[in-house]
Amino acid sequence: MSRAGRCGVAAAAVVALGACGLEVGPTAAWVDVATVAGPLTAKTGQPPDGLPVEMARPATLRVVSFNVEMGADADALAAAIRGNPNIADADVYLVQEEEDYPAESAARAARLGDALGLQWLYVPGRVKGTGTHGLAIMSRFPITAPAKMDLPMIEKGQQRIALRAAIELGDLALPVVDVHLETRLNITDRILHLRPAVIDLPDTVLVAGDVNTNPYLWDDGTVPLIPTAQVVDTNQAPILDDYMAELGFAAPTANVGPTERKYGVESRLDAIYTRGLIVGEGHVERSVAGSDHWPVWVDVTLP
Amino acid sequence: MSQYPRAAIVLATVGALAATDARAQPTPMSVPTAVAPLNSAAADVDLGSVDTGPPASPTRRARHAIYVEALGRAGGVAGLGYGYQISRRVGVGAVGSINLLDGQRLYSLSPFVTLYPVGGARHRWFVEAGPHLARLVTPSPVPEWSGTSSNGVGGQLTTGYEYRRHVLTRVFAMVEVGRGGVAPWFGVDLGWSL
Repeated sequence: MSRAGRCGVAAAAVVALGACGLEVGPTAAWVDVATVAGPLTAKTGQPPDGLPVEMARPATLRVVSFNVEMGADADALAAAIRGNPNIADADVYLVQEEEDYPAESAARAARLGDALGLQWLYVPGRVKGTGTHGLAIMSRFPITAPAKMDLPMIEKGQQRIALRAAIELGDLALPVVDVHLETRLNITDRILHLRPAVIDLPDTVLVAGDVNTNPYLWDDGTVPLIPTAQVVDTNQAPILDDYMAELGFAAPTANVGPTERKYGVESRLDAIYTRGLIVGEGHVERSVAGSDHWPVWVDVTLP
Repeated sequence: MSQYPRAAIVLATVGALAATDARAQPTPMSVPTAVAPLNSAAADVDLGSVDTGPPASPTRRARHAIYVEALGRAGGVAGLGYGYQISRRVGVGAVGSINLLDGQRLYSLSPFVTLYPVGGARHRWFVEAGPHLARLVTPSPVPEWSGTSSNGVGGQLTTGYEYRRHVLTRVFAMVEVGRGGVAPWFGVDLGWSL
């Protein structure tokens, strides 16, 4: 083989033995949202007049997780939710991708919460344009002890957060955690991204959100290896379920099927996990319009 | 993530170079009698002469090709391919790759048969088919989980354009079929005809 040929073999070997990886930033602690000032100040509101927050402990709790894709048309979103009998009267909504802009009449979470007659809490995760982008919790029961965690920053990504609060159910304060993870991650980084928000939670807790468990293996967070996904198991959703199971969490939404369809690809991006609770089968409501995701929900029997 | 050092890549590359050097001495190799001649002028070609320099004339076809593949059959974003021309219209080859992706290790091998239905010595349309064997190992990045792995076999059908004269260039489209379904894909090869 000629010298040029040998060099070619060497160059090709370097390319074939590719190594790519995204940097995962440091972890952060939970922070009381009341201590956060500036543009990322949290907002909260009570139900409109005449709609009291419930105080008695229910036997079961219906919890919905819904990525509302910026939630720009809160009225249409509220109508879509109310139009589905399975989630119209849910007790708690963990909402992702809410936004707040000063040019609008109120925070979008406020408008959605008011339209649904719920107490609401909006916690921004990052500045976006003239406004903010973040997570929200809406509840028929009082929301207390809100805290947020800046999830580890992922190279090429955006600041993501987890929102933790207690839902006051009579004599029980049920911890809930709302999360929205980065998109183009491999499962190893996705676990590192989520782990700080779930590793030290109480024994009884509910975690839900858009965990973005797409079906692909990614090269450097840029190229989805689509052919490989046809041959080996690259779907991240069951792997994240497996990881959460190691932490003692049930995965009631494991069998709901896709929660998003984009570019003809259906993915189970959203999940609900419970620990220390009796939880029913998970469901997805694909008739609910207004977002690129479909809401998922479960009924939880309280201890 | 930096927990999987690139030293492994360097070692593998050095290994590839060493192996290449060991084979670098020209070795006479006759055309197997069972193989049809590429054309009348090439019937008596001693392929060992390929290592001594460029072909003396365009009619002397190099049977071996080695190339880098971007996307394509490699499983990852890049792979290393080898092809052997059995006859003017038929070849065999394989593309393989090892990719380290955020700690996950993807091993991929795609052997295939190549047909050249249309074209001449330099410009050809090719069709390839073969299996795709892959193994994905997902080590745990945390102590509380043990990780997972997956093996699979799929099929690939590839078609595209090839230019071959000292260098090898291919652009192609393909479909991958496996237990996950069917997916279209594409790729580019760039290498040497030896």
